[in-house]
Parts: sequence; structure tokens; C-alpha cells
Amino acid sequence: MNVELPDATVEFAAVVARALMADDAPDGAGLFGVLDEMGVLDLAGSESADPDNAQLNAVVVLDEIARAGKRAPVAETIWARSRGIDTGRGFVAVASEARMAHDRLVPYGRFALSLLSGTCDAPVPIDLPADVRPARIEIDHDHLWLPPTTPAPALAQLDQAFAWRAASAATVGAMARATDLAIAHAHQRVQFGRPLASFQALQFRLVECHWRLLGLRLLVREAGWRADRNDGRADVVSALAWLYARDVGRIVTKHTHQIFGAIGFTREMGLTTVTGSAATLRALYPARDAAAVVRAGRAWVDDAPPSTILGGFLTDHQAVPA
Amino acid sequence: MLTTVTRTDFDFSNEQEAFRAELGQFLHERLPDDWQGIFVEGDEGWQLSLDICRELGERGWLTMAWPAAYGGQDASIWLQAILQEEYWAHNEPRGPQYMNVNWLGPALIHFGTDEHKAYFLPKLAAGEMMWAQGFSEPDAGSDLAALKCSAVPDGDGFVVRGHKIWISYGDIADYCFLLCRTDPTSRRKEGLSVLLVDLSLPGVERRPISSTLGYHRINELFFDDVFVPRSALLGPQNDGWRVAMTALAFERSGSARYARSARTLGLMEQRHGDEWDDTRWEQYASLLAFARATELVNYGVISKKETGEVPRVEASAARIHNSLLEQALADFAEQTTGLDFIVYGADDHAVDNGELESMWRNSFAATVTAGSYEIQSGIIAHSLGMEGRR
Repeated sequence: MNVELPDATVEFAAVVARALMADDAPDGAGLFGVLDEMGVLDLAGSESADPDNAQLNAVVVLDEIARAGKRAPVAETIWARSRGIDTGRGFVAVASEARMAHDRLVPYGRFALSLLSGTCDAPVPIDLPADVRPARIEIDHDHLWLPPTTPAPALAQLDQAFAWRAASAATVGAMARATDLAIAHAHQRVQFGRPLASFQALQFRLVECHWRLLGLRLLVREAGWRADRNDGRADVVSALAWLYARDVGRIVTKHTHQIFGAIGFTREMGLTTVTGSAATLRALYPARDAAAVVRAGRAWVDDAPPSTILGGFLTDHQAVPA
Repeated sequence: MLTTVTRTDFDFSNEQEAFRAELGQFLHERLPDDWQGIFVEGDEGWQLSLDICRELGERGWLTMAWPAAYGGQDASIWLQAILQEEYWAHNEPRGPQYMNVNWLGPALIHFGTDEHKAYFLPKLAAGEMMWAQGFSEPDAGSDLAALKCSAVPDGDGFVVRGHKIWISYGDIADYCFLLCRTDPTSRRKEGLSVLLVDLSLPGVERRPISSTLGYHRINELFFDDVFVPRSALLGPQNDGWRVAMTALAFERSGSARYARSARTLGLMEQRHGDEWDDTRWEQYASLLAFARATELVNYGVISKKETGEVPRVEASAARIHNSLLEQALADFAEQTTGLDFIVYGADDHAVDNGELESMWRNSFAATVTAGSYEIQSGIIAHSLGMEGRR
């Protein structure tokens, strides 16, 4: 047992974080170029630099990308490339199962050059259909509506456990960014003659954000680590990570908005873009599917319940795509 | 010196899991079916705890990760973690002696004289000595530095006078790890010392406090001009705050309370899971997720210890996880288990010997004892650059 990250992963994540900070483009083509050049988009591929830790590295980097405030269909592109799909010179978007009327949401479709279409067994990138239109989501722009006529599998249909890990990693990063912003604001903003950070009631909100993210981050990394090893509990741990990410996302969102007060709702501050992105993920991937996988995987050998959480799960349980 | 991590591993090794199975089998066979720990009516509980501790000591299963020179086996810190998990999951058959392994022994190894180590450590490793922690006072709880218990230097020793309260095991312990004021002119954290006080000395009085937390759970200790020899001083005189804080850091990261939560979750599921609808199962699955995150934060503390770090902030985060998990379990039990969670173990209708009731009843104390939620949060706030106002 050792839950610390491998040195190589730590070093790579630091390189990615520095490059993202230096990159002015928040999303889109500029971000694609930066990530592609560093090999981030091929992290989960069979030819990745560290195949033993491909999924672990992927969740660590998705966390860093979200923490840097970058938004694009990065996870979708990583997944496509891991299956040998040529995504060309730009991000590939993947439709979701979430729909209004008959239209389906395409997360961050505005930054994609192509859309994954066809069947689940043989998805291929196609040009974005001409009849896609922007989705009006006040808290989180940049998504598209896809008409029902376009055959396009959802990421959760293609690889449910990967979708949960990616959503969890993006939630960790987004909520860490919200917490970073709130801590900085709490030090700068003075009320009653004192910085907000000196008020214990507000300190404890930020403290909860900190310790919640500590646990969630470890859980997300465990999910990636188990996926790399084809561990029989990888899907269950991915589901657990997503269930906890949903809870932590709501908690951190409430705390950080409370710290910011009214200025937290301005577009200039950008907090709602961060917290809104996590809310969008929660809408895309319902808890019921993850809970169903957890429930189906529960079992233990003896009458007495086990003394560890994973001791209460089958060791060979695979998630079934919804 | 820090070591580098070359291999991440979220599993215990096969050898370690085999040891867990062997230990679990021993506890299953040795503990009575209705074992609920030592905080129950009568003296049978702690007498059994003493017997079991001696057996565990003979097997070398109390202090495995201690240095061999002090009665340990130089075993992996992860084997010690498995020991902690299995003991806590089985309602802590070591009773007060869990403290011996977690923080008392490490504090003695860190600060003790050769005489201390030679006298105390073999007894701790053999499971023959019970201790109490003498910190809180009527006017010094979370604000521990306000303590007044005095130990006035007198010849070749100290004369101790004062009142300690909320002392777990104070009625049965052999010795007390006493934090007291050795410089009468000092204030706050200055002028304090730690004395290792034999509780059979003349002038010591013990009074149990009746509470809903269980028998033997909390007590008062009165020291009425108790003469304690100078050899009982642990660490430098008047530097006791540092000694006590080091011991507390060991304590906060040493208890595997989360293992008992894992078992209690399983008990609830075993008895009621078939009755739950999908919504309830979503709540339960989310609770399992929080419980796994809690385990991992505790494992993170151990991982850092293994590399030579002193993970004070992570230990506080682990303590918060452990205690809030217990309260989350209690909330879930209220919503899902009917009367199971309020019927005491001694009642004819008790379910699983009242294990769920005991968990629920004690969950409210989880954020109070061993350093309150607020104290742990303050430690984390400090690490985030946020100072409090005293």
C-alpha cells in the first residue's frame, strides 16, 4: 500500500500545470495544441509514455486542466485516441445521454472540430453536423444541442467507468480552482476592519472544501490506478468516485459562493463558470447509474461484514453500460 | 530524510491480507458473540480485555511496528495499520491499551529516558499496563493551555495538586500521562511538563462520571498533594506542551475508527438492504463512497509517515473524516433502521447486541473527543494561511 503518486506522474503533472498557466487561450484550438504537444491527449493510449499508469496519469492531468480553468472536450479526445481513433488536428466532442425534448447535449462541443458518430462498436469522427446549435446554459456556456437525427453514442455508453473517472477528475480540479479563488478572495476582502480569512465561520467553510477535496482526489486516483490494472473493482471504485464527486461538488460550490458574496456571481470573477461546469457534469451523469453498479457489486464471503469498504465488494464486477 | 515514491499501490499485499485473515480468525474465535467493547456494565469487559491483551502481547500482535529494541518487530507500518483496523472493527478488544501502541509508546520512545523505556515499554508490548490521558480540566477543555493543575518542584520530585476531568479509563488505569504546570509563574503554553504518574500513589482519587457514553468511559481524577518522583518527568521540564502536542499528533493519526464504520455499514446493509428502494440505495452508495475516501485519507497519513514526514495537517483531516463518517452513519441509521438504533444491547429486543445503538449513541461524541472538530479545523485553517483571533 502506498497512496502517494509516482514521482514520474508528479513531475508530468507539474509540467502540464506550468504549460497551462503560461497558455493564455482558455480553451479551443490553443489549448488543443498545448495538450497535444505534451502528449496529454495520448495519455491513455497503448503507446503512452507510461502504460502502467495511463489511466492514473489521465485523471491527474484532467484534474490539473480543470484546476487551471481550461474547458474543452479533453477527456472525450483522450478516450477516442485510446481506442485508436484519429481525431485530427482538434478536439473531438462526444454526445451525452442528457437531452431536452429530443435534442442531446454535446459537452463543450463549441471547441471541437468533430463529433464522434456511428455505432458504439465502431465510432468514427465526423464533421460537426450543420444543424447543431449553441445551448443556452447561463452557468456554463460552450455546449451544443445535437438534433436526434445524428447517430452518436454517448461517452457513458462507450465507456461508463471512464466517463465517471473523467467527470470526477474534472470535478476535483474545478472545485480546487473554486477553493483557490475563494481563499485568495478571503485574504484580500476586508470587512469589519478584518480580512474575511480571519473569521472562523468562514475559515471553516474553506477548511471543509480542503479536506473534502483531499479525500476525493485520492478516490479518483484510486479509480484510475485500478483501471490501469484491469482490477475487478475498478468500475465500482469509479462509481464511488463519481458519487462522492457529486456530493463534494455541491458542498464546495455552496461554500465558495458564500465566501465571495455578490461578486462571485459576476462574469468577470469567473466563479460561476467553474462551479457551473461541475453542475453540468452532475446533470450529464446521474447518481442512479453509479449507485446501481455499487449495489450490484456488493457481496462478502463471511457472515460478519468486512472491516474495509472494498472488502464488501465482489472482486470481478464489471459495470454494464447504461 | 524523505524517500521517493516509485510505485503507487492501493492494495495491501497478499502477505498482509493473509495476516489480516489470521488476526480476524483469532478475534472471531477468542471474543464472545456479544462482545461490544469494554464500555459496558460490569467488570467482565475490561477483565477480558486485559486477558486478550496479554495473549496478543505473547503473539507479538500489539506493537509490531515498534523497533525490536523496544519490544516490537520492526514490522511494516502497514501491518500495524491492519492490526488497528481489525481491532477497531471488532469493538477494540484492547480497551485502553490501544493508546499504548498509538501514541504513548511512540512518545516514550521519542522523549523517554533509558529508565522509562526499560520500565514501561516491555509492559506495553506485553499488554500488561493500562494508561489514562490527563489533559482536560474543568476550565481547560479545547483551550488546553489554560490548565491549572500544578506540580511544584519539591526536593527530588514534584507535589501535584489539581483536578482532571473527562478522563477515559481513569477508573481502571495504572498510570496517567499528566500534563501539568511546573512553573507557577508561567502562563499558557509555557512552564508545563508531562509527568508519568502512578495512579496508586497516596492522594490520588478517581471518580467515575455517569454518562450515556458507556461505563468506564469518562472519569475525574483528583490529585491532592500527590508526591511524584522526579524520575516521572517525561521530556524537558517546562517544555511539556511540545511533548503533549507530539503525543497528540501520534494519537490523531493512529486510530482506525473508520474500520468500525465499515463494519457498521455492512451490518445495516445485511439487515435492511433488501428493504431499501433505489433512492435509499443511492444514499447508501454515497455513504460507502465517503467511507472509502475516509479510508484513503487515513492511508495517506500512513504513506507520509512511511516516507519520514510528520503529517500533522493530514492527520487532522483524517480525524475529521473519521468522526464525520460516524455521524453520517448515525443519520443514515435513523432514517433506515426503525428502532434498531435506539435499543440498548442489554435489552431483549436488541439487534446485533446493540452494536448499531452503541455506534449511534457515541457518534455525537466523535467530533468532541480526542481533539474537537473545531480544533482540527483550526489546525487546517492555519496550514491554509488563515489565522484565528484569540
